Amino acid sequence: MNFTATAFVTGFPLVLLLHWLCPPGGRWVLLLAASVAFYAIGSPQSLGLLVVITLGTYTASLLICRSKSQKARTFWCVAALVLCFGCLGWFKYAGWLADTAAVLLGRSSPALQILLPAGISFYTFQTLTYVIDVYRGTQQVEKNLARYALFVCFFPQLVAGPIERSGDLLPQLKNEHRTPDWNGALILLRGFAKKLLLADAMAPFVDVVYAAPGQGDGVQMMLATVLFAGQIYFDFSGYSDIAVGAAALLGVRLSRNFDHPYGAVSVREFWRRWHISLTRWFTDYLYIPLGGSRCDWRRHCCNLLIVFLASGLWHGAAWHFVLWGALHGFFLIGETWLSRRKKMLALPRWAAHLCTLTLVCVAWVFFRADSIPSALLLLGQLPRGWSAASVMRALSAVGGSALAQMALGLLCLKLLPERWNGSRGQIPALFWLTIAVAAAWLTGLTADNASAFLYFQF
Amino acid sequence: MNLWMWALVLLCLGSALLAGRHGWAAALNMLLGTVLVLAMLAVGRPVRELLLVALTLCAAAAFAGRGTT
Repeated sequence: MNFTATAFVTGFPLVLLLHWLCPPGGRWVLLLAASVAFYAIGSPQSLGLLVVITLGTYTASLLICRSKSQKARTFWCVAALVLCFGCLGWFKYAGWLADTAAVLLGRSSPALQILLPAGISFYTFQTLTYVIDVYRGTQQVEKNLARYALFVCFFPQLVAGPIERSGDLLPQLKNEHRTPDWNGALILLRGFAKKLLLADAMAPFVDVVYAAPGQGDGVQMMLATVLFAGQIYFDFSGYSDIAVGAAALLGVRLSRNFDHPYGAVSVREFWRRWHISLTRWFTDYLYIPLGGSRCDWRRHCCNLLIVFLASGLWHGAAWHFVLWGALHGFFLIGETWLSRRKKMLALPRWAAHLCTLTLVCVAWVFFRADSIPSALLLLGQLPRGWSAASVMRALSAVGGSALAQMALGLLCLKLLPERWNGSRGQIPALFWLTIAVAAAWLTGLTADNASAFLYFQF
Repeated sequence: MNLWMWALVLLCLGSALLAGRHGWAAALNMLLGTVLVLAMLAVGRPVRELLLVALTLCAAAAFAGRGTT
């Protein structure tokens, strides 16, 4: 479900009103109905898979709980893993694997037409945390199927996270006496502002430059990459803010997904601040079981590389995503190697910050490009055509109005508090921000060019 | 934009800058703001123009309202 879609913008206030008017005992039923309805409106053809995953993991967790022998417990846990990864593999990776096999064998591609269900990467990972935690004995099994279904498909975070732990989310959804956090309205507004005022203003220029790799000059390529770094951050953190804000208004506290990632002074720190819920998932369910950093140096490097290759593959079924993940893995291995030799300490903070930003932006080129050859062509155009005239050309291609919108949007978000501090002096600013967001939403609606959230495709 | 609309924008800007210190200025700002938005929509000004005006006034009001309680 797209948060900027008319169905959500008009439907959410109604759900919120009904939720707080409803008797406490029935609120979770309303949330479940709303979650299924929002998902069915956005992607009706994917509802069946969501039901299959929910029923499959629910049954597996009950059987794990009831099994007396360790062998049986392991069997049911593996069965749930096979179900989730099998569905993810078929719907997300089958086409890509078939294409790759066809290229390797020198045959024509079978052109599998498999529709990617919305949010599959997110809800399979979330259900897996539940099953694995039940298997490990750190999570009590949920016997009520409908309540478990609400945990899987809670609408604010169903299609693009944050990927919540069952131990954090299930008790909150079961609590009948939860109270709303009205601060969520400000978080929600900031989320919409990030998406509609900033990310959507950055998108058109990025799309144009990345659609024609190797044809522009270095200034265009660099500006497009910097704008893409901004676009993906404001798009995804905007989505996360809307999810967190909407859930807070419903009395549910979701985890924070971003913590100023571009302020990081190392790639390791960047990953502690970027898509935090996914990083935590990979750390707890892949990196640590592999041995983490408590092993010899070679094994540690291998673990890092495996985790980042998996992260790249999670983001998309294409080789350029795998390479993006591998690059981050190598950056982290390099940082670990340098820190072992204490060379990182010699770097001033501003230089470490600049190095981190450069490395992250170089990796973004592989992430945004359509393929690895396109990314190499784009990087190849970097040294070309640096002049004052080409800078002016690139800026005019972005557009004065879009640049003004970005500058003012950034200023507003910087000046406004992240959480409501009770200041009445900020009310007019919030009034104007609401009007700006509504105007941006209307612009996208009337022009029919509102871009979907980037992380929906994952 | 018309002259009277520019005058309205300036009044909004002035009241936005005072809104951090005076409650009446905040109320006046939002009242004038509503009139301005409706007027811009009524005379058919582009929505993008409204967006930039709203963002400018938001930045001014947020700047003036910093640190107030």
